[in-house]
Amino acid sequence: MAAVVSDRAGFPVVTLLVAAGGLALMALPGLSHWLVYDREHVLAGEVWRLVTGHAVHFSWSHAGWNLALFSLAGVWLERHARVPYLWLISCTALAGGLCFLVFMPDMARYGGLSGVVSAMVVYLALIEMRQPGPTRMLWGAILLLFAAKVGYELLVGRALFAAPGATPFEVAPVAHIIGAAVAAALFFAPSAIRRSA
Amino acid sequence: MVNLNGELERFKVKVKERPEQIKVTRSAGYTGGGDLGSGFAILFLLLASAAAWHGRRRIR
Repeated sequence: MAAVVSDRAGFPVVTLLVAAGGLALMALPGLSHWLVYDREHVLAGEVWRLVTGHAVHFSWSHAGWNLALFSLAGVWLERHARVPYLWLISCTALAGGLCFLVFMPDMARYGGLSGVVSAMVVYLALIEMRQPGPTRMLWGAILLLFAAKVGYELLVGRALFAAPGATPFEVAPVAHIIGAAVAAALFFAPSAIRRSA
Repeated sequence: MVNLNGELERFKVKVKERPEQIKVTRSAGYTGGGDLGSGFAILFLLLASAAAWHGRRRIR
């Protein structure tokens, strides 16, 4: 996928639409009810919730930080690698929803864009680390920071940068791991396929 | 409230003395959320801004 990255800048329409949609869902909780990941409703046939649940947030603070990161990384990626970016966010959203459904039967509801944002941060860091120069160290530090955060959450069972009970939900670090795995797969798979061909 | 405080104190003592008997589990039907957190967001913004600034300086 990295092979199709170009330097052509384009208007980041997808990023702005998703970010605006996330804000609109916060302002219209009635609409969120129809889009949030809800295991019972998904099993009853409302399969769109597997993907749309990522755009639903449970508080303004939850939405604010996720949407800020999504917007920044999204504009950066969409302007320089639109096609891989669209594959990245689509595959991560679908993979996340399916993993929750199959492997996490106790999780009744899920909302939050951070799984998708994790995929974007990892993919962006991997792209930028291909460039020569000192900025590689900075992008490497971002990857290390991300790995440390997810590792801590898995070991300790609570969010690294949030006080216990500060959020109206339990942070699901598995969403971040799924995002990172999809990003790594989309970044490394094309060159691996080329090598084996 | 007196009972609650008493029970909490007994639980604290039990956790310290016999931690092997305590197991933290998630209750079925919980709500999960994807949240990278403000701390991560701020550090990412700082590092990415520094990388972008360095990159532009190199191009000039």
